[in-house]
Amino acid sequence: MRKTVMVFVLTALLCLTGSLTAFGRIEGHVFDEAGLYTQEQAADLTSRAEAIGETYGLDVLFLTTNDTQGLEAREYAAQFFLDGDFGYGAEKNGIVFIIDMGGRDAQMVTSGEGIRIFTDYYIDKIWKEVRPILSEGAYYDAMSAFLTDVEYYCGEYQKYLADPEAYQSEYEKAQQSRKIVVYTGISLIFALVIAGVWVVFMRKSHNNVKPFTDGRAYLKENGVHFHVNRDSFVRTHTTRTPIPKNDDHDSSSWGGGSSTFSSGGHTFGGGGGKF
Amino acid sequence: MAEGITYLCPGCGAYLRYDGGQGKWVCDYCDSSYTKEELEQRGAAAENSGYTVSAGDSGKRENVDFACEEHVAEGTDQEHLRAYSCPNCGAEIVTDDVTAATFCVFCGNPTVNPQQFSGKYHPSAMIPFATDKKQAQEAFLKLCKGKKLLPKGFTSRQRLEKITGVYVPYWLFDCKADFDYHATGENHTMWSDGNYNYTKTDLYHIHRAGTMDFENIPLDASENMEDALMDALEPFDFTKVEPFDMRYLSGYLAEKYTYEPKDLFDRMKERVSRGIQNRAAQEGRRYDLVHSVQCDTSYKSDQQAYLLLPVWMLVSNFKGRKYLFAMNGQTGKIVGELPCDTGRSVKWFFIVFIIAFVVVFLLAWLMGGVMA
Repeated sequence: MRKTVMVFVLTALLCLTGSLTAFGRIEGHVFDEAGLYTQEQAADLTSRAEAIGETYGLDVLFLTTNDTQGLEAREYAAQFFLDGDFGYGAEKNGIVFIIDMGGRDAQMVTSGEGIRIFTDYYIDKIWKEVRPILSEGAYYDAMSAFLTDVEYYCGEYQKYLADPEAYQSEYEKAQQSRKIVVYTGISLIFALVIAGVWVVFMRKSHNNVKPFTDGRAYLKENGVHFHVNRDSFVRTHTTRTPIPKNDDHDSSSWGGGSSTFSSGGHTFGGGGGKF
Repeated sequence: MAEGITYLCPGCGAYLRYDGGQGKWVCDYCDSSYTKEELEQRGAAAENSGYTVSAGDSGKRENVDFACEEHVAEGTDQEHLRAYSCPNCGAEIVTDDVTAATFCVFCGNPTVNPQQFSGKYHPSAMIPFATDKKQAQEAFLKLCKGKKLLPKGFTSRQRLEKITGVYVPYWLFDCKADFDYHATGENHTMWSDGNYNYTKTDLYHIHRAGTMDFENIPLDASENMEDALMDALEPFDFTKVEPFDMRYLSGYLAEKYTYEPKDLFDRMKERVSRGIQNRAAQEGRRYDLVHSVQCDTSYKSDQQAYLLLPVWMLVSNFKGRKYLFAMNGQTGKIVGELPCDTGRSVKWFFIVFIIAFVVVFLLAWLMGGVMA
């Protein structure tokens, strides 16, 4: 049932903006079901997305809808991405920005190389920039800002790939300044405790008055006689605690890790939220 | 008014003082020194005294029954004062009624008031000083050494001069304790199987009962001495005990006891009760953890001996508080409390704070791998 609906939706969309290629692949970048852009705006977004596609091999899609057919926005976008056979290269490199007007939900969905470029850190950065523009209803402006970011980060990612050792990513810089703040805080607390303990010990060293013995020193030789010396076993019990496991999380100096989800047998990344 | 006595130099007739460092009687005027035997041979005079001192004047061991009721009438302050005339200059020395050996405030003459040690106050034995004032002063400087928070000028010459040798009255208790000790002992075994850490706890009931015999538990019998300080001065070597001899007091302060053995019985129990528990726990099987200790003990003390023990003392007043320094006059062990200067404490806090901050920050930075 869902499949037929999707086919219907796609056909309707194709009539509007795209055209079917010989391999079943849908061409085009803007699928404006909700009618948020003017023709000029759609054309502008398309040409800029095409340029990114040519330069960086990343398929950038703009999807708007009023109804996600009961699916979550990101799942709807993932389904759309798979059904339309979008994405460049074997890994289906791409990023979809879906605006669901029905749920007032906007999501970025990444695939292939897109997952590696747009890690949670960058998705979050883009979202923080785009969200207020979306809330104002300036959808084209929001998408324009999104495109600028995508182009910028794709460019930076290429620089990173060229020499991962030498390149210092924005993420790394952010991590570093965050570390400085955290380390300063930790050092302050440690230094306070150390200085406090130090001075207390210095002051304590001024007083060495403590009793010489607990009394055992006064015991007479052979002065101890036991007439009861018994150890009776009472009971035993065993407790167990799980050994904590370390969860390895893929992380790089480019931008940390990416949260992913699976849809239709393919892995997607991304993120977003209500606007 | 009673008369004090001063021991005189057989050579020049000036007063003699006992020097613990040399173990001899010393005349500061003609620089001569005498052993006990020499003094006896040359018949050192005891001036202005009707009290005859024989060498090795040993008293009997005091046996006090705890059931005995003795009423000591409290007098007014006036009644606690005693006046003596100095055998050297004739000045009147006013002391309290527990001081048995002192100095004349006018001529510095060491004076012994033998009446204070007569009758039931006659000590059975004593440990003479084996250290001298110089050693005590050095010990005090050693205690002060490296103390960064000490107020400036605390180790001044004037303060060092105030260090005084005191024969402190002690009761030496013998004690038999009947104990019944119960406790819970735990032994822990730990292992893991990859998914879980396991801890096995075996609980045992520990029961020990029996008797313990203690001897020579020293308890200071002077109201003027701080108990904690005196307890910290131990141990004394009681194998070196000598019969009480008045001549050893020359050149020192000495007090007679103000506490009777029955007043000290509770303190004696305090001193040994922890030891009884620890000794009982030492016996038999070993445990990783011992808790819920319950120990019923009855104490019995048949014998107490009255002794004078040698202590070097220095009392300092700093910002309205009394700080005590003491050295065991026999072994040279030093204990005491020294004042802390608030300004210096604050200064040191900031110095350590800044250094610690820099070090911790650099360590965190390097370990965090940011520099890499």
